Amino acid sequence: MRRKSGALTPIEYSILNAAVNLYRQGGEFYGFQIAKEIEDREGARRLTGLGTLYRALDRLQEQGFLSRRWEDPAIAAQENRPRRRLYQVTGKALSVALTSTPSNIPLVLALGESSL
Amino acid sequence: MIAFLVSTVLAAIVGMFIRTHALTITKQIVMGWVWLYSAIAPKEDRDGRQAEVLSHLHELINNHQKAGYAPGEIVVRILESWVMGMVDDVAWCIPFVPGVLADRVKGWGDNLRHYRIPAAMIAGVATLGLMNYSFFSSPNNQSFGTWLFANTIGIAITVLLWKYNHPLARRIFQAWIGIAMAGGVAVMGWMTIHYQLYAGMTFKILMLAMVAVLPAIIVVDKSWRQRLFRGRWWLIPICWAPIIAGALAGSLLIAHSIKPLLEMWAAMALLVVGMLIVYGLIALAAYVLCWLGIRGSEGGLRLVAAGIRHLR
Repeated sequence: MRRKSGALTPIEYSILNAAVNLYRQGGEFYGFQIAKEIEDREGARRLTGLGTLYRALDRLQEQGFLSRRWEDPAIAAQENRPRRRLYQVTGKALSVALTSTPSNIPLVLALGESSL
Repeated sequence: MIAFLVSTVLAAIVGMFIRTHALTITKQIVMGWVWLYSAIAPKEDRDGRQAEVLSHLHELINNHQKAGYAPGEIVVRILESWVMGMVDDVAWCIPFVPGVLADRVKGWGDNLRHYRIPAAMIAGVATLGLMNYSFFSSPNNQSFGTWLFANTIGIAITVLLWKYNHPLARRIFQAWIGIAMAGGVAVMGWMTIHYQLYAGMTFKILMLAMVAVLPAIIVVDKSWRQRLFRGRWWLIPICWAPIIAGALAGSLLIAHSIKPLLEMWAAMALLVVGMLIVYGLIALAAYVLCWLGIRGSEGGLRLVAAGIRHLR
């Protein structure tokens, strides 16, 4: 079934809220931090599925809720770990997160645009 | 007893190894899966996904180790998050399938076009093989001369097809085809006139019309001959007349048996012309069929590729 344009799935909505939380704590964040945030905040016993998390992040980025970039390789090398992909929430994400439910996000976005 | 002891010791060693390297092994399994399903994606997406999952696993292991989790527990957490996301992993790579499939199908089409000449050469070799098989399986006409002649023609055709891209080979092949077809036209003309089988007036007119039209088609179809004959239409019958007349005269000589000596030479001439025509037509048919098959397949594959892209 094709979903409504702009609507978010429950997992995307959770990720978006977790992302906004992380953004408020310190700006940029990476995939594992989101999984951890969801686990801590929503009391989920298991970490979000790897494929589910990164597919949802891809979609959120495509819809303009998140922007992303690769971390400087020198920093990763210095800390002796793989390079992280850093995410940041956009103004669009801040306008809908925490004030809406997954199904009314298109409405919230429409209202936001009309009030500008 | 010995088997029991050996298996117990082996199990203990394997167990210790797994226990020591459990995290590394689990990480490698998950990365193997990521490598597997992301292989179909374009390079940028594939590299991004692999790097991101590798980083995630590293962070997960580090985070849980700092929190005091045992390696076994961390393994379970990794496996859980891996298995739970498998459906989404597959869903992630599905949109890339049509593009990759279309490119692959298009590649097959390009390869077919690239290997048109070798494929035609294979057809020539196959013709040669069939010819030799029919020659040795038949008790008649098993003379060394006939065999040598047949194989020489076959090999010559094969080499010409193989080197068809070379201008000289192409011209030899085309000239040879022209001669063979002229011979065929001559034989057709002779048969039309003499054989009772073709006594029906309608059929005779049709055959004679074909005999008259075929050389013209052969001549005007070639670009280099077009240049030669442009404005000099009278050259066409002048060039073709000796070929047709020669083949016709040879045939008539045999048919009417003017003199025994002449008959022998005429029989040999007819044999040569006949074999040239038969083997030439077989090779030509094989080449044309092969060419049509390849071009048809190539076109079909391109159509499939376009269809897949459209569906995407």
